[in-house]
Amino acid sequence: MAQRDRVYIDGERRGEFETLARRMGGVDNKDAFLFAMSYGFAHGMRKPFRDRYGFVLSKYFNEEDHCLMAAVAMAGRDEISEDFSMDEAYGIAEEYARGGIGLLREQLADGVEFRENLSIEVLQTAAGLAISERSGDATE
Amino acid sequence: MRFTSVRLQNYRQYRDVTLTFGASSGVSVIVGKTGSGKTNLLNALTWCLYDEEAFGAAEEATRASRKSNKGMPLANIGPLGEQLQQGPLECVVELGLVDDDGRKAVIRREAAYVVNAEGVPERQGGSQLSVLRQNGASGYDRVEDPDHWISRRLPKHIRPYYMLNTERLNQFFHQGAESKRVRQAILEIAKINTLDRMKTRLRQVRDELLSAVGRSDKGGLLEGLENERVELDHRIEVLSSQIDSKTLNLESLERQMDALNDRMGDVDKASKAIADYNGVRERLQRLDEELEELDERMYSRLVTSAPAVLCYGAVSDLVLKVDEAWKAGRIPAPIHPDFVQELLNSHLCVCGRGLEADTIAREQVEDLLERHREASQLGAFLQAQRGPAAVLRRRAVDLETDLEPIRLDIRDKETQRDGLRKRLEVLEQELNALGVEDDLFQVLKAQWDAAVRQRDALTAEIPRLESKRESLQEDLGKVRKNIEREMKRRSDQQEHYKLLEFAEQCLAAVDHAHSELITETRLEVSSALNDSFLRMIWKDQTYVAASIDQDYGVGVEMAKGYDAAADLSGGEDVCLALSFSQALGRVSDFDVPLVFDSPLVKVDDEVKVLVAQTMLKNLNGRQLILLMKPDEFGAVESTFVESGVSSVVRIEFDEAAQSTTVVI
Repeated sequence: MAQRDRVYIDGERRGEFETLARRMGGVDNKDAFLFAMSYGFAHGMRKPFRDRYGFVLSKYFNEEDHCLMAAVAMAGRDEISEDFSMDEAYGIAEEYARGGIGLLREQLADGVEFRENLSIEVLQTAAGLAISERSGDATE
Repeated sequence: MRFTSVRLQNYRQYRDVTLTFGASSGVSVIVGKTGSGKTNLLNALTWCLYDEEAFGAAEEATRASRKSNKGMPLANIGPLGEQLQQGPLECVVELGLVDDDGRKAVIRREAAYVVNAEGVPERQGGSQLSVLRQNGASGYDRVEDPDHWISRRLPKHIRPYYMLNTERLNQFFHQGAESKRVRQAILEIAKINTLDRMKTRLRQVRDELLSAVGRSDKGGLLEGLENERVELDHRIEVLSSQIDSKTLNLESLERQMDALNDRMGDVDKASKAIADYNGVRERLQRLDEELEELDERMYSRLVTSAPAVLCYGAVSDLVLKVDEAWKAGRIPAPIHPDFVQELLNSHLCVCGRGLEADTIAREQVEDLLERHREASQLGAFLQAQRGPAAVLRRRAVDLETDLEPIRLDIRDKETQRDGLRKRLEVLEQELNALGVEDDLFQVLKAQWDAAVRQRDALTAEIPRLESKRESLQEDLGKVRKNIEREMKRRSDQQEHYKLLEFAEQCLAAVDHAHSELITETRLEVSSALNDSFLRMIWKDQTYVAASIDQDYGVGVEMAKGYDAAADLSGGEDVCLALSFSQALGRVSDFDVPLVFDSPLVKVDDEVKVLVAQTMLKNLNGRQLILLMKPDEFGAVESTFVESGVSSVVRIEFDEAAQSTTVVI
């Protein structure tokens, strides 16, 4: 199971990724990349790109990060097939990150309450998850 | 004073003789031949009165005699030799007299003689003098200080002029220190000694005062103390000035502060409100910082969990899909690579020899095995996602729960912050009410704070200066006491100066009186001398005057104008001496008897009568005792008889008895 040594972002969006990392409280590239990917995935925004810019080395991803990218990659399929690979998962993650950063572009603009908006959205989503989790537990 | 008698015991040739002096005419004549003891009678008188024999043999002979007799000039040794061998011999002279007040007295001098180991007689110790004085009818009292008693009545200084031995006169007034003795005699007779004693005493007083004045001068102590006092005064003045200035500053400051206080309202209240406000604001600021930190923590947690939240569905699906694929066998179980190799080498062989290399069959088998191995790796990977997926799901679901403590903390602090904000609002309102926000208040507040600092500095400095001033005032007190003491000493010194001045004035007055008195007395004596001398001398064409000059030299002026005193003949010299003695007697207040030994011996018979007449005429009531030779007396006996002189005693020397006796 071959694996790339890095993930790429759209070179044209590099500044926005850096802005995102800063607005997220000074996180590193890996967290900015995963957030952009998650955001694009959550909003169903996947966008291929050509200008590939190496943004995060694979070695910085831990098991949970790989699991997250694998889950995103599997989400578009009905079932797991033998041809799944992490390279493919990287590629899908890169496209969702590209889509996510595109959505966040307006949020990252000056004067926008990025932090509040992000918090609200994440917390609302988390609250929904908690509710469904509790109701699921209750059903079980 | 009159001598009434003299008793001589063991004195020279006198074994035990008493001579009485007639009282009727005041003139007594003792007649005796040469060697009968006239001069020794005179010596007995001077020994009795002054403890000296003034008329011994010639000076050198007397000294030789004294030396050979080893201090025994007095006792009549020859006839008393045997008695001396038996024990001490008493030599006594007793002089009886009647004092000026009419009371009798006896002057007694005695000395003891013994024979020493060499058989030579010598005097045992000194002579003893005693005076017994009649004390009314009850008898005689012993005078305590007999020498003083005698010196007051018969001063030793005038002895040469009232006890004369004319035989031994030689240029009487031209001996070395004669003028000094003349002066002394004149002083004595004029009782100027009293003035002399006054002068001496005054000089002593003056010297004592000078000494006291000298002692009072403490080497400029007062000036030193004064300088110290002035310096201390100056320093205290400077300090007082500083204190006054600072006190005024303080008062001025307090007035300014009162004025500020009036303008600022209740400054203390405002200051407290400001302090409260600042305290609340600081607490609020800390709370904001804490809240910000909590917010950061929450945001960080949120950002970290965001991918898990946003991808929660995908992760959940992944686990389900893995489970389903596993159950459906779409995910092969992992195969160990060694097993695949062994299979290729040994077991995948129909004939038991394995598949040959480079055969299609073998390539297909190897490809199949390779895909199976990759599939089993994928399966292993997917199987391994269960754990991380569970973590991610938990993170997403538990986000709310994880954030809850932070949220509670934030809520609590926000509540505190709200309270503080409200408190801050209230305080702001209070400050606004006090005008604290006003710029003028801030200016006044700054002035107030500066004034408080200045006041604190002044209130700390003034006691320090006052303490220093007190210390200096203590020093000043000590110096002032010293000055007072010194001033008193100076005052005493001034008193001493006044007394000294007075003493000087007294001394000058006494000196002046002394000088006038002695001059007056000298002139009186000189006049009396002139009178007596010109009466006695028969050369009235040659000698025109006898006088005592201001240097107390006795001179005789000749008609030709020069002094002939040094050229007088023996008889003329005797006349001059007798004239001087009588002149002293006439002028003197001392009623001293005149005792003349052989007064007319050197005078010619023609002149003897003239001299005797003059002597008798000039007595003025004084006692005159004349010791005369028989022929000397014979020449003037008729003159004495005519003058009423009846007291004539004759003495003789008994060669057999080696003693003098009185011939009745």
